[in-house]
Formats: sequence, structure tokens, C-alpha cells
Amino acid sequence: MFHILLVLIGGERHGYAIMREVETATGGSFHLGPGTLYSSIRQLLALGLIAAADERIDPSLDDERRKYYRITERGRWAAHMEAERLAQLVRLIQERVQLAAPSPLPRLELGGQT
Amino acid sequence: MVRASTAIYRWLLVLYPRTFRRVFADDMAHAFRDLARDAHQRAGAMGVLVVWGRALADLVLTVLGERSAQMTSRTWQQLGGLCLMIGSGVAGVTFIIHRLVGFGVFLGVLGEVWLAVAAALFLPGIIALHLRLAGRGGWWRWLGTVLAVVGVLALALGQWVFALHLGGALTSCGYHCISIEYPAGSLLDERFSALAQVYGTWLAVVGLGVLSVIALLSSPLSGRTALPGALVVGYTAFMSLPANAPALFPAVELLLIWVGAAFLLGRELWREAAPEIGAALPLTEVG
Repeated sequence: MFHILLVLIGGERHGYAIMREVETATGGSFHLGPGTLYSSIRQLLALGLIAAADERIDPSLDDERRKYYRITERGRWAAHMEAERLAQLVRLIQERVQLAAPSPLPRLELGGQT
Repeated sequence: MVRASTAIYRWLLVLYPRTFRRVFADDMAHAFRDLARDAHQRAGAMGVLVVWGRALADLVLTVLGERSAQMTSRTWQQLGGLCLMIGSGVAGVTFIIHRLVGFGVFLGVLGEVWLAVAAALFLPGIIALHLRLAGRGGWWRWLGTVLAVVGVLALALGQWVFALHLGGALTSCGYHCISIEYPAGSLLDERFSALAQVYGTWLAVVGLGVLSVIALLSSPLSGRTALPGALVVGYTAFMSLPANAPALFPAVELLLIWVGAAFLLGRELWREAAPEIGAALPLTEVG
């Protein structure tokens, strides 16, 4: 859901555009299927984090009308909070990794002395 | 290929709950078509196959998620009750086969099969009831749980007939969850004498007390359908047979209740689905 919010921060999108952008943003490692996408959209709509915009044609695809979604103020706030949480988590991991890093190996010299 | 795939995918969307489908099915079909079309342009038929593989996994997971998200406590009750009933029905069939074959390797094999099937079907039902049977009285579901545990123990100890009697009560519990129309008491009124013949008076009193409680719980809403009446007639007719099979009658009772309950459940499901089926039929103007 966070991915969807991030995409919608960039502006209104329809379902397939969201799927493509999520895939591009994650370097192709995350494929959002239609079921997962619209199940997430249902939850985001229910939480008031996104809202349905209008139906219009996407000239880059075809002449079919598509339903667009936009992020709400509450959704922006939720995305901001989630980003903060993830940033804190990354900082914590970096600190722990530095603490746990092994010290350099002592240099061995001939004769058994270091 | 893209068009056919989209048509099949759109057809599969019927697996989602109706409320979800009504809002999102068209958009999902469009999204799938766009995915399949792009994949076909990039990699041909193999690309479409890859899209299908991902879409099917996505479909299964999200159908389960959406279904469970939209399940009401009533649906959970139905699911739990259905598990209990099927468990009891399977146990009844197995018991009859056991009585017919009755010895040798079949005894051991069928015993194991029965135990496994009953446990596999009872336990989810009990869990579902515990999770979702809110507002129906906590002690009532504990009663079903105790019956189930004792029934499984009786099965494990080889007390087949005792287990079947408990299975009968458990079926009543299960069906009670499925349809509140079920007048349990009317089906169980002559159970006392049968229980007394097999186990003695004191156990029969306890059994009757338990069954009376179940009957009391279901009685205020009884009499709404003719089917329980038909079941009572069938049950009474069976009880009028010579007392040659005090062990066999609960098995037949289980099956009788199970068939009746399956009919009622089917009727409820048909009623629920009928408007949708009716809407799908082509309408023709008369005159």
C-alpha cells in the first residue's frame, strides 16, 4: 500500500499506470497483480488515504476511459509517517551493523610475533 | 490470445465477493488486459503465460483475503457448522461401512480414516465457532467444544457407538450454526430410551439434558420450514423398527440430519444466488 501511496504522490493515476510505476520503481522486483492492486485500493479508499478522481482517457494507451485515483491529505500524512518509520529503521540497522562489524584481523609476521 | 485471456480472467473474477466485484471487476479486467497486451508485444505467447502465472497466484491470495474480509459472523457460523456436519456425516458413513465389513484390516484402516477425517473437519469448525460465534452465548460453544473433544477421545479409544451419539449432538450443534430454523428438540425427543438402553439411565439423563439445552436454544425459531417435520417423520419411522440396532440408529440419524441440512443449506445458497442468476439470463419481451 505504501508503494501505491508513493506513486500517487506524483499525481493522479489509473490502475494499470500504478502497476507499471511500482514495477519500475522497484527495478522489476515487485509485480503488483490486479487483485493485489484493487484489494489495496479498496482498503486505501476505506481508510480515506486515497480518493477516486474521475474517469478519462489515457492517450498513451488507448481510447478507453479509465478510473483515476488521487492521494488525499490524510494519505500524504500517512506516507510521510511511514517514510519516517522506515528511515528510523534504516538508521537503527546501520548503527547495529557498525557495532557488530568485526575488527580488522591482526597482521601476522614470521616468527610467530604479531 | 489477449482477448481470450481477458475473457477468461473476467470470468474468474466471479470468485470475488459480489460487493468487491461490483466496484472493481471492470477495472481489474482492464488492468489484466493491459498487462497481457504489453507482455504479448514484448515476449509473445510466453509473455502472456508468465502474466497468467502471476495473475492466478495473485487471484487466489486476494480472493481468500477479500472473502475473509467480507465474512460476517453469520458466514463464519455457517462455515464452522458445515465443517462439523460434514465431519459427522463422514463419520456416519464410515461407521455404516465399518458395521458392514466390521473386521480385519478394514477395522484398523477405517478407524484411522475416521479419526483423521473427523479431527480434520471438527477442529476447524470448532475454531471457527470460537472465533466468530459472538453474541450466541459463550457456554454454548463450549458445549460444542466439550462434545467434540469427548467425541474425538471416544473415537481414539475405540468407543464407536458412544462417539456416534456425541457426533449426533455435535451435528445438531453444527446445524444449529448453519440454520437457526432447525428445531433440534423435535428430532431428539426419543433419544432418551435409546441412550438408556445402551449406556444406562444416568448417562441418558446427562445426554438428554445436553440435548434439551440445544433444543431450547433452537426452539424459538422452529417451525419455519416443512423439512424438519419430514425429518421427524423419517426419524420416528426408523425408531419404530425393531430394536435390533441401537448402535446403528445414530449413524442413520446423522445421515438423515446431514441430508436434510444439506438440502436447507443448498436452498439458502440458491436463494442468495438467484437474483444474480436471474440478472444474467437474457430477457425477451413478450408480445
